[in-house]
Amino acid sequence: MKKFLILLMAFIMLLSLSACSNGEQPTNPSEISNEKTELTMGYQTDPEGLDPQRTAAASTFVVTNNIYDTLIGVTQGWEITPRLAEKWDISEDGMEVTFKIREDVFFQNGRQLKSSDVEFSFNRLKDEESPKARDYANIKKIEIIDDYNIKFVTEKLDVELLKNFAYPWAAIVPEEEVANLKTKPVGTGAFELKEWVPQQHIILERNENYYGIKPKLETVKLELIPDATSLMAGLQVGDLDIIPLTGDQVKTLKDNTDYSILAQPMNAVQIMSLNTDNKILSNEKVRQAMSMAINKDEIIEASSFGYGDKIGSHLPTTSPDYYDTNDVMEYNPERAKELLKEAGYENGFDIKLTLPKNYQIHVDAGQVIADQLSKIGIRVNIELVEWGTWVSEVYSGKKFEMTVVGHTGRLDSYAFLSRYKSDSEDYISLKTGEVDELLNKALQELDGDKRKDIYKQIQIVLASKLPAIYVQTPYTMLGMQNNVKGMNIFPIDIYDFKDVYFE
Amino acid sequence: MSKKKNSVYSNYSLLIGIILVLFILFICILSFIHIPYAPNEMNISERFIKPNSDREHLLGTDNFGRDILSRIMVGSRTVLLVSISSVIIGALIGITLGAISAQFKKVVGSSIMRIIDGLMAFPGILLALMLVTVVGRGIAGSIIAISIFMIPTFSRLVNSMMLDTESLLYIKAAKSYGSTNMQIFIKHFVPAMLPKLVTQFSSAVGTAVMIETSLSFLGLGIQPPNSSWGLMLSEARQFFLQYSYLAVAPGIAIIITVLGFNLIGDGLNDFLLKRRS
Repeated sequence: MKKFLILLMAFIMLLSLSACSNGEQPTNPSEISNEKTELTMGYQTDPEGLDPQRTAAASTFVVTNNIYDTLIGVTQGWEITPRLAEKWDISEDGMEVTFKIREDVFFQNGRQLKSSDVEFSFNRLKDEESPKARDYANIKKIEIIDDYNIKFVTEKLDVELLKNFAYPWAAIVPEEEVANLKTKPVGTGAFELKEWVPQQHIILERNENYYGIKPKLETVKLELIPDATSLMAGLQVGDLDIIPLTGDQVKTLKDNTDYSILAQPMNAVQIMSLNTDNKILSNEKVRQAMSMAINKDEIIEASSFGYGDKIGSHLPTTSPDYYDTNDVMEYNPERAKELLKEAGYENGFDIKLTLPKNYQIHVDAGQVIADQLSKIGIRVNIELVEWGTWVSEVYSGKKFEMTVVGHTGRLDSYAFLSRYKSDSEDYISLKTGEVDELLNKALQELDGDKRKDIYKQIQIVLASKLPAIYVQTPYTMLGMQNNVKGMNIFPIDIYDFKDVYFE
Repeated sequence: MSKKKNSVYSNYSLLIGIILVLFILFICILSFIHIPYAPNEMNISERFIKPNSDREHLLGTDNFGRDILSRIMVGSRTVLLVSISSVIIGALIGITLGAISAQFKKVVGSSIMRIIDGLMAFPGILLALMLVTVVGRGIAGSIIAISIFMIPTFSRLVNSMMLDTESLLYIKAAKSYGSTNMQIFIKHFVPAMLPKLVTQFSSAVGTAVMIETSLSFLGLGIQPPNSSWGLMLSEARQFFLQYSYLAVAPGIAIIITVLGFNLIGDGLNDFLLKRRS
């Protein structure tokens, strides 16, 4: 036994000695580069292919925006900035826009980008297979002036036209590569795809031929970790540099100086959509009663730990056109009961609430809503469905009674609100046609202040007619190691790794 | 073995098993008489109260401010209802099928037993998952899925026991006196098989509890806001690092129930076998 102990002691001493010598090795600090250039980020939903013009999935655009470029970009403050286009001219009548494209842009396959690629990409965006085709139907002609100048002509006046060129799906793609873009994306962006193992990770590599200021990061590794608790563990042991956070995690990390937190209201709204084709829900008083019975502060506390701004209408608080309509249908359960009685449902009714089970924030909010509605006698039956089922049954099939979901905002309010036109065929629309005229007017109004006023009126109409019950503007929340700098949140749903670096 | 040593009191597994199961049964019965709080009622201002820290919520409250004790109590109804009824249904069908195939050995018997063998090839939870997607989620779906899962074990047991006993003299004697098959089955086979069936029944309930909680953990059992232990565990998962007590109560409840029924099964096995010998 004694011998064993001595041996053990000797072994431990040896180990510690060797550890010491290891520690002394880097005597000259200038020899080692202390600049870290490999970023690892956790993410929760795998992209649906990396072809920006063949999907509507936000998880795709989050990644592709780093691989492809758009003609123009948008800043954190909602301002338009040059990207592939150096400058642009809008004609006096507002019907034409001409872009001057940079002459030093090369695709990642080595070919130079010319205006013919822009034409090709927009035609591809407008064709049958593109899910965003409807948004670009107004562009009736694309005219190539020369290799670096291109003109777009619209059919009707759209004062917000320019913003349509900043969305990640308006990316410029090279014609010769389109067959494989889903798995082998080729763009002009600051990063190129090195490897994508579906359901595992995506590795992006710095594009050495990028026309702009080259990113400081050499590689960005996106690791798929759907579970929020595992993401948090990854951040805490240092495997992950950036992770998306939930509200309760923000509270835990807030006072810890090892991490920095980015928490900002998103350009998005969480709403409870109501199917106005349903006999009960077609009654405006019922919808108003429901809205008054719902305490949004409680929902925000329960679903996002307070990280959310309550809203009364379909525009998020981040939008420049936002108008506060929270007082139109204020929380008032007593009045709600009266309204329900006036509508003839004194004893309440049974109703189904479909919730997308992959989105915890909507499931949680839905459960709180169900509980709050039960207090005025409305019996809510919750049904959890997979996201795919939600899209096909609820969104496309319009087979639902109520559902809680998020809508990602646009840069222009018209595009975001146009679903409320009576002929929009959307799963929620205001079939009574009360905002049709206002929306058309907004599209044609050149004066910014007057346009804002029209959007204000639309928001007020929506807040009282309630084709949906508007709950909150959720927050984007990111947790980062405190040496990560330069990560920003944009009004469109993208991550931009170009300016990210380690300090 | 002396008779004194073979009393219930010296059979510790049986004793502990009975105590655990009685405890769960007590909670279940109590839930019909009195629950401290309405199990589905939310109270957002009182969420995440640690167990008994305010002397009102013995097991604390969850992320919606619902009382965990009340939810555990109401959840016990679901668990016991689903597991016991599905084992009863499964056992009845299984015993019948086993008896039929033992009686008509040739075409009918062997084809039934081959189908049963096929069913047994599937791992339990996988089979249940598959069945739930076919018959639909919820309580009824879980019961159907678990009872189908239970059929093979019972029919195999009955089948083999009947084939064993068949050649014994007293059965042959009964046959020669002209008793019908049904009479022989009820008067002779059933009493001979009863101890083993009871043992099997008890451990099957333990398995059924596991499957039910797994199904509801995966979101295929009872739907929220109603409570079930598996669902509670699954809801606790997202807060596991900050509020780990949320997972403790349903976890312990599941352990107690499964352990209880399994110990009873084990203990009964020892007890009945010893008594017979």
